[in-house]
Amino acid sequence: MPTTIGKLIRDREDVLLEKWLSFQVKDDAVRTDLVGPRERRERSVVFIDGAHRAMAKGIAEYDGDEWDDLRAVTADIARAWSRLGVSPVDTAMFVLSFKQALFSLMVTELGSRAALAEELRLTTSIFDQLGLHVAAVSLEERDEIISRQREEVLELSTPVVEVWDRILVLPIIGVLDSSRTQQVMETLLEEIVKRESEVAILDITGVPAVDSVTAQHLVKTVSAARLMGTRCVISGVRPQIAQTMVTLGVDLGDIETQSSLRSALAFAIERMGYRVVKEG
Amino acid sequence: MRSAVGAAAHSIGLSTFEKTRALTIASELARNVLVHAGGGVCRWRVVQDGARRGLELTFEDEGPGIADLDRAFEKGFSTAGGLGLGLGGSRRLADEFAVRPRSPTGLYVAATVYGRA
Amino acid sequence: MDRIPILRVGDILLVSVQIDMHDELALRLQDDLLHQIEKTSCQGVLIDIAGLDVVDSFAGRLLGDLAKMSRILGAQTVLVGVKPEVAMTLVELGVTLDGIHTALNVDRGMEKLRSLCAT
Repeated sequence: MPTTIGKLIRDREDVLLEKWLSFQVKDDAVRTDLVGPRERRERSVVFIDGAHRAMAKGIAEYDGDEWDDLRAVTADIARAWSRLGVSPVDTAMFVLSFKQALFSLMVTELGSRAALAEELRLTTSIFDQLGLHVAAVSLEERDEIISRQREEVLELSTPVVEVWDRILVLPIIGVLDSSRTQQVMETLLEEIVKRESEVAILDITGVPAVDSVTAQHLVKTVSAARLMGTRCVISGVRPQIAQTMVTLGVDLGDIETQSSLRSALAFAIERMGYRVVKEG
Repeated sequence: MRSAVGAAAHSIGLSTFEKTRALTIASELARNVLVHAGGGVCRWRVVQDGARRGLELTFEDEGPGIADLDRAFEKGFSTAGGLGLGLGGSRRLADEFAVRPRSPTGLYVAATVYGRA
Repeated sequence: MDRIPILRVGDILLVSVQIDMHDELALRLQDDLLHQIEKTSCQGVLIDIAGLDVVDSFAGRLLGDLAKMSRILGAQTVLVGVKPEVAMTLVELGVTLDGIHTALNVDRGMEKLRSLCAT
């Protein structure tokens, strides 16, 4: 049985839409630059349509499947806007401001009527919960974006540069914790295969401190590379790091180390049997 | 056994590096069981730790066991003349590792390799 | 009885391990190879393990022993085709293969062998 509110939405859709759009951007804090007017309008139309259809035969409780479509619609919006950088709160406002617009419309068109009381109770509860649902989905999406970005940063901070034929340089920046070191090792070894490098220079100029675990990892990396036929040189070893290594009793064995990338490169060039000759 | 473990590793999305670690562990521990105990049982199952999934390999035998477990992990230690790198090496390769004696005799070894979250 | 084939390329013996070797096969390879070195009095041996996805401590040690034994018989050995993940597991297992020469692939391995045998 069509409800008063349901009929209102259907009959006064245009007025409701305009009212709602103005409510959505009323607050100065809302970032109108992130969601364009066309996008906002299109999404609002779809939402109103969904709300109307959900209430076509009466107002069911929120967990009824009459509301499935609208939940899916709002989840879509939440994910899309989260990717645009809209905060979960602003996205939730999208739904909550609909409630405000709807009620404002009701006051003008219907006045107050006792029969409305039950419909009102249900409607309020429903749109409040929908608002929360939207916020939750938006937050989830944001969390996923953050962890994806973290991975990308991890990858970016282990670039491998082929500076010359068969000579690779791996500048390591930042602190080497055990999971990162693992990834650095794997990246290096894969690159060695790909570029057929004979010498790999691990530059640790950008590494502030080396503890014994990190040092061990470095030693293992070099050993693994050697098993593949590639010679490794660790460059950018600063006096403090040299001190730490000796104090910790780290045995570098016959791993070649240099204090600067420049001398490491010179070593690599010589090792490969190249000679740099000046013209003229 | 290797191909089954390899297939299991692949199905839970372990990287090549992780899969190789699992297979190497399987090879090492299986050899231990054969050499020291003449045979045993190997099982594997998928486990979950928070967001990451892993492959757990267990080996059980009824052989003589190892009298001094601590020393068993030292490089070069062996009760039967092999070079004894198996147990220590496997522990280093695994993310989680456990060794327990079985009663009345024998050994239970479990090793788990996890994938990234 | 299956064995791993040993090819003769000039005065170099080439072994290409394509399949996961079980212990018996590996030991047979060791025997065969040492025999061949003696018979042909070759100067170098190239072992290609690019076909191996997994190398455990037994196989690793065997390869190391093989190189040492070949050396005693007068031949240099170069190991090629060690995959990154295999290299990492061997290191963790503590198999260092000190003193064995390695190269990335067959081409480079041949280069290295020639320069080793020339000295």
